[in-house]
Amino acid sequence: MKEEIKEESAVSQKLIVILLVIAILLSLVSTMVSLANFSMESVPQTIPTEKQTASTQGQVSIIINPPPSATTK
Amino acid sequence: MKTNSIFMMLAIAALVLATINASLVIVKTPIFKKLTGYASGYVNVTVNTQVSINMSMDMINWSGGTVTAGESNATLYTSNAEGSTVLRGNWTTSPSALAVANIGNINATLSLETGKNAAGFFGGTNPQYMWNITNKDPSSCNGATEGLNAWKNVNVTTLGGAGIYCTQFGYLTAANEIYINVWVSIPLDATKTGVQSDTLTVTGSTAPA
Repeated sequence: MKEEIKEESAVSQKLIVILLVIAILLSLVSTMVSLANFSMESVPQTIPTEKQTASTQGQVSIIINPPPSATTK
Repeated sequence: MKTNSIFMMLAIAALVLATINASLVIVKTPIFKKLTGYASGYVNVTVNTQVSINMSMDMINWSGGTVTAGESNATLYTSNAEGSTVLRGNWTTSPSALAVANIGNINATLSLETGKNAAGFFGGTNPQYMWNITNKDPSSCNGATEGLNAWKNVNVTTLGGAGIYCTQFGYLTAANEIYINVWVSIPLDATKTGVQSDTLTVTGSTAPA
C-alpha cells in the first residue's frame, strides 16, 4: 500500500514537472513572438524634403540720353 | 500527497496562464492575423512639395530721359505699386516695383542677384544701383538677413551665391508676395548712354525646416 502511494506521488511529481516545463516553453514562445513583433512595428518616418530650386527674372531698363550741352556740341 | 496536489494545482494554473498569454500574443500579432484571414488596408497619401517663384510684375522700364542741366546726377526709384519718383531728370514714365510671389506650397529661401553693378550699369562718377525689399503682403518675407525696407547696393554674384533676403518666404496666399524696389542714380558723366538694361534674377530654394 505504501509503495503504491510512493509510486503515485512520483507520477504526480513527474506530471507537475512536465506541466511546468510546458508552461515555461509557452511563456518563452509568447515572449519571443512579442519581442519579434515589437521590432517589426513600423516607425513613422519623416522623409527629408528634397531640396528644390526655382528662379525667375525681371528686367530693369532705362534710356540715358546725353545731356543737352553734349547734344548741342 | 497534499503538497503534491498544491504543486499540481499551481502547475496547472501556470499552464493555463501561459496558454492564455500565448493565445493573446498570437491573436494580436499582425503576421498571425494575416495567416488567419485578417485583412488590413492603408491609405497612403503623399503631398509633394514644390518651390515655385513667380514675378507678377517683371519689368521696370523708365524709357528715355536726361540728367537735368546743372545737376551732377539724376535719381530714379520705384515705390511699390505707386510708380516711380524722378529727381533731377526728365524721365516721364513711372514704372512700379517688381513683384515676386511664392506660388509653391512650401516656404522658400529667397536670394537675389543682378547682372551688373552700378559702375557696370552706368559708369561715370558715383553711380548708384540699389534695391529695397518690401513686403507686399504682410509677413511674407521672414528672416530677412539683408534687412527689409532699406536700400542696399545690388549683389552681383554667380547663381547660387546671391544675397539671401528672405530665409523663409511664405507661400500662404495672404503672405506670399514682396516688392523689389529699384533705385538708380545716373551721373551726368555716365559713360553708358543710350539703352541700358540689366537682368535681376530671383531664386527660391526649399527653406530650412
